[in-house]
Order: sequence, then C-alpha cells, then structure tokens
Amino acid sequence: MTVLAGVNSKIVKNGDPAPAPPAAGTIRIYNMRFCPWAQRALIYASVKNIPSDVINVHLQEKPDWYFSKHYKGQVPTLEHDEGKKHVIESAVIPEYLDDIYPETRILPTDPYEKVQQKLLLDRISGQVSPAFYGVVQAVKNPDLREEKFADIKKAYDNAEQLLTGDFYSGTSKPGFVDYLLYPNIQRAYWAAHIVPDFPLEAESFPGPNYPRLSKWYKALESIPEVAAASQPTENGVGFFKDYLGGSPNYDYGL
Amino acid sequence: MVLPGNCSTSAALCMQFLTQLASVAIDQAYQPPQQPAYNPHEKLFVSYRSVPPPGSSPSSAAVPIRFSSYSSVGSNIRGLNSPTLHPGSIEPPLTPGNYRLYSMRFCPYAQRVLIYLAKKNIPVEVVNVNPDRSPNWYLPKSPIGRVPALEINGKVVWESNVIVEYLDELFPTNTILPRDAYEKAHQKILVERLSPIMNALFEFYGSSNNPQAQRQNDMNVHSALRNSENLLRDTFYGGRQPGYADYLMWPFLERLQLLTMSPNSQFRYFPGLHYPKIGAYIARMQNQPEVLGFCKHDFFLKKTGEKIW
Repeated sequence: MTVLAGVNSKIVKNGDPAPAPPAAGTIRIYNMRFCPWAQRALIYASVKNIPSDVINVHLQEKPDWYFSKHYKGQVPTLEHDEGKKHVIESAVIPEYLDDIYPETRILPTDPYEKVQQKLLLDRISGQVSPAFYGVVQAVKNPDLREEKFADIKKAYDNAEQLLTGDFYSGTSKPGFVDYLLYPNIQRAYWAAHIVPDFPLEAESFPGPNYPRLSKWYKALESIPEVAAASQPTENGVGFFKDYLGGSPNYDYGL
Repeated sequence: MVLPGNCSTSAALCMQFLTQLASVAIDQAYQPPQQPAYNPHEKLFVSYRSVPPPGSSPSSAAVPIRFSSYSSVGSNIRGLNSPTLHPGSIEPPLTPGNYRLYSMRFCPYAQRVLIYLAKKNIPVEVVNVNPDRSPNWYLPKSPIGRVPALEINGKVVWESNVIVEYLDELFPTNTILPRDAYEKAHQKILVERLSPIMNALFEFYGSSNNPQAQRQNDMNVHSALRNSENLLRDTFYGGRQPGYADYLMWPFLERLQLLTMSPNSQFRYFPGLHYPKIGAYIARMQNQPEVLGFCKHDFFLKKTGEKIW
C-alpha cells in the first residue's frame, strides 16, 4: 500500500478550479507523471512514508492559480501546513523533507558524509541529465547524433565508474543519490526502447558495458516505494514517443 | 536544478575574462596592501597552530577560535593574495587540523566562500591555483581542477554553495543559514530566483561587442534588476541582516557594475534610477565588514576601466 494518493489522477489545466488546501498531516506534491524532477519528490516522500496527495499539472496549459504556488509554473512544488507553505526545486525539496520528517532521514547526519552525497549526485546527474536531453535533440536533428550519443555514453561510463558498491550511498541500502538519480536513468531506459542505434541497451539496461549499473537499476526498479512513485515502462515509452513527436499526452495510459 | 557553484572549464567565458584581469593586475604591478612590520595577531596564530588537531571526527561541529574582540573582520584569513600555483609547482604542506581554501583571486564563486569564512571568523589558509591549467597534485582534490575547494585532514569539499552550507554545519554557533527548515529552504530558493543576475553577467562578458548584442545584454540586465528589485522585501534578502542569499549573489552583482565602463552599454550609472531598492542595497552591502575586506570594486574601476575598454 502506497502513501501516495493521486499519482495517476487526471491532469489539471487552465480553467480547472483551485484544489482545497491539503489536510493537516498530509503534504501535497504538484507533479507531472512523466517529469523526472517531480518524480524525485514523489520517490522521497514514498520512501519516507509521508502521507501525500498528488496533483498532476498540465505544463503547457497551466492553471492561473498554480502560479501562486510556483512563480514559473513548473513542477515539482511541495505544499503543506494546510496550504500555507510552498517549497520548490527538486534539489531543495528532499532536504526539506528530511528536515521536517527527521525520523525517516535519508541523508547522512555527519556533515562530511552528507556533503559527499550531494557532490556525488551533482557529478553524476550533472552529466546524465544534459546527455539525455542531448539525445532528444539528436532525434530531431540527425546531424547531432554522433556528438550526443558520445555524450551519453561518456555520462554512463562516468556513472558506472563512480558506483563502487551496490549503491551510491556507500552502504548496503540505497540512499539520497540513488533515489534522486533513478528518475533520470529511467528516462534513458525508456529512450533505449525507441531510439535507433542508441548506445545504451534496453535488454539488461544499460547493457553489458555497465555491469554494476545494470544491477543497480534492477535493484532500484524493484523497490516497492520507488515503483509506487514511478510510471510503468509501457506508459513511459508511449509518452516519450509522443513527446518526441511534439505532442506530449500528459494523461497517457489513463 | 542546482546552480553551478564553481569556476570550471564549463564557465570558460567567466575564466577568460577573470584571467585577463589577472594579467592586467600583473601588468600594473598591483601591490596588496602594505603588511604591517609586526602582525599583532601573529602570536595568536602561533598558539592556534599549536592546538592539537581535532579527534578522529574532524567533521564534527567545532566552536570557532575567537582571537580577540578587537581583531578586524577577515583577519582569520591568511594568504589571500598568495602567488598563483601552476603546473610544475610543489604542493604546499597542510598542517593537520588546519583548513585550507583553494581559490583564484578573481573567481566570484571562491569569493562567496571567502565572505562566508570572514563572517564566521574561521581560521583558514588560502592557496591560489590556476583553474584552467591545474597543478597535477591539485587534480585529485577537485574534479577538473575547479575552485573553490576546502580541505582539512585530507578531506576535500568543492562547489561553493555546498562548501558554505558545510561550514554552517561544522560551526553552527554562528550559522548564517536560518535554522528553521522552511526559512532555510527559501534562502536556497532565493538564490535560484536571483540567478538571472549571474546569467546576465556571463552573457555580458561572453557576447560580442556589436551594438545589437549589447542592446540584448542591456535588456537582460534590466530584466534581472527588475526581478531583484521585486524580490528585495527587507533590508537584505536574508532579512534585517545579510544572509545566505546575499553572500552567494553579491560577487556577481558587484561585477555587474562594470557595465558602466562599456561604451556599448546604455548603463551610465549602476543600477540607475529605476531600481532604488537595489541601489540602496548595493551601498549597504559595500559597507558590510565581511564584504568590504574582499571588495573588488575599486580595483575593477581603477584597473579594468583603463585596460579592458
């Protein structure tokens, strides 16, 4: 049973009425089902077992009332304290959740260990994420393919090299880096299903050149709390196909 | 998305300009302020160095050493203008229990950390390195040889925004970030929301000098200043006192004032009459002791104006 309610609720868009404030003891996360940055917040809330209400927002036809929660109208936004507090930024929300729900803390308490987790996330995500969006560009502009495919291969070589154990947390259980990195890796898994000649393989993703990462991905994918915050492969691949075609369907699969 | 927190090859345009400034400094035989013949704090530094290094957990919280109620802000920082180390140099030995900041004198990200260190009065030795062509011994400490990086007992932390938060955790008695989780989150969000100032600075120095490009730059700066003016709702972004967002954004706002030296920019005064709150804010920030000690303003105006434009 998941603590996340409404992960697969229909998208709200311009013209839809503003929702009532979240109930006391519940947080709300404004989401888009296929957004990797918003998924970070969902995974963190799920793993920390925080009762959460999820509302999916249309990113091209944003409701006017949503700009009172996020000044740019982006996702994720965390709303809590019965609607009185809003926190944005996918990098800020997880630390904030650890601060206000310390019993289920994921980040290490030791200052140096904590800092190392943040730097490690930056080093991997800072390459993996731009490389993925580079692939999106390459699909639209084949002249860029050689360059962008080399970038994503390099990013995953780096991710494999920095994975020295079972998890990036350095312990026997996944941690901060693992949970926040997973959504972006999953997006490349979706891409591997439909992008021709893609350097990463869908079979035993990311493929035989990445033995530790393959094992890592399989382990993360099978965690129930992570799965509850993620879209299944068929939905993700279907959305991504439409997205590449320029017509994203935010309610794909519903 | 986390803002970049360091000078790196990916900020080559920033570096290109800043190292050009360094060349100007060398050409002008720039002299740091005359050091007093007798350093009144020398004895205290010696006594600090003789303090046994921390125990097995150097990262645990520690109370900063207070030298004297009369020591000036910034007196805790040694080597601010030490010569830059290039490939072929030998790594200076670092005594256990002492902090070292690897820096570059004109790097705005390193300046963030220096202001924080001055405010928190943490004893530190500064070693300046060439970030574009790092000494071999420096590369294992910081990916791609970026600055700033903070080292103690063989442990290194980089990324300016990560370093300053780390310092607040190590020395919580004079924390700059708010203790309240919500207020703390919002200081970080504020830095993100003020980031158009940083972007405008990089675009200004990165673009060509043709009038059309400069008009676009001026528009970017106006947009960034309008945004900054709207977000300033108190004396400082941190409230009644400068805080995290002020210190992290100041080095970029300080450098943006150089716009007035460009013949292609319409800015004759910075920020100009349309941004009264930001104008007053700049005057207040320039007078903060922890900022004043690392002010590049006069240096820029005197040297840059003569050489760059």
